Amino acid sequence: MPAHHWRARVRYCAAEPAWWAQHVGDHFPEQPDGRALDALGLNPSLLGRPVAQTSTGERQRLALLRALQPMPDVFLLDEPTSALDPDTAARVERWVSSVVGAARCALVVTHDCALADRLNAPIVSLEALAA
Amino acid sequence: MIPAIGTWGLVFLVALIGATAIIVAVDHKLPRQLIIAFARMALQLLILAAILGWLLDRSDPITTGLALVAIALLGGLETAYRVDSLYELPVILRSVAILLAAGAVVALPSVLIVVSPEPWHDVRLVVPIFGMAVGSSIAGTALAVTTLHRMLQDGRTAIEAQLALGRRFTDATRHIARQAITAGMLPVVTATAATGMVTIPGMMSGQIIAGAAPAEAIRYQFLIMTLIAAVTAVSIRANIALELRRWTDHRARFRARRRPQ
Repeated sequence: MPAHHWRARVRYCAAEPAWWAQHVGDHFPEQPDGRALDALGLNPSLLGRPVAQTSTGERQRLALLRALQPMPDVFLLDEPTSALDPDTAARVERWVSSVVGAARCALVVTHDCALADRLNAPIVSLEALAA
Repeated sequence: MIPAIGTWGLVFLVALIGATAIIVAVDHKLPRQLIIAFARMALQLLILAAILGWLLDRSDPITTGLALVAIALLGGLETAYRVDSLYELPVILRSVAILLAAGAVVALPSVLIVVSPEPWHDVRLVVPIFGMAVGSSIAGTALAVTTLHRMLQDGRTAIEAQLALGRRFTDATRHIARQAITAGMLPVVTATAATGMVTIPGMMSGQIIAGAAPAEAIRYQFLIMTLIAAVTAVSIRANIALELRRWTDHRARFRARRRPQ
């Protein structure tokens, strides 16, 4: 399988997302609608803004939204809520659960044990493995 | 015929170089550098004259063809050498092969079509025009590849983010390749636009001094500027496309190359 086909199905989301164009909206092949943005607590006006004028937390959530285009089968999420306050983090957790649903799967790396518990999924503790 | 420069003329020129060295003696190194540069040039020109004289005497297509290959070879070496000390065998071979191809496919047929020299391998026409076209492509190609390197180094995370979203490497680097090609071609475009303003182009001056009619000389200038643009464009496009492949692998990952010192 060519690498770009594989990556179209298995989506890696880096802890610190990178941006290649000037404006946020340029990174989306299809502009996300207001509902999709609202689910992550994002203001629709963000799409027209330069990437440099967004906060770390906004960029982290925008990168998750970007990761749905094209929709993968598997998500590899590296610290998906590291830059978020508890309320927003909870929102993102609910969003991840609903996107993954029953048809897809996600592998989440986190240092936050509470997050691991809340996701209600099998947990592999590297600490336990090392012991 | 143009009047020859005699021995006393040369003596005068050497004296003028000496005087120039004294004028710029504000720095103790500069006069020496100036004189060494002229000595080097004199040696190079003597060798060049000997080679061109020999080619003119022989005037057979195979020797002339080998001279053109030698020009492309030296041009390719120089291109590879100028790219941020990226003096690796694949780059050298590639630059040489591209210049050979550009010369054989673009420059040489153009000279034959436009000028139709008699015989077709006339050293007086083919060698200098080929040399100018190939030589002038070096700077643009080196600039384009150097720009590509810098932008790839700086844009690594942005490229990898696009790869992670399932884009092909060529799509993820398209923007960068475009800017590198533009950077390499711009000097050619500006030089072309400025041709004939302020100074008379070097080749045209030579022809006019040699007694050519200005109306004829400008046609040759047109030819040479077109060949420079064409050979530079082919060289840049091919070098950028092949250089990009060196920054990725069979799994379409970004492979950083060692930053040149």
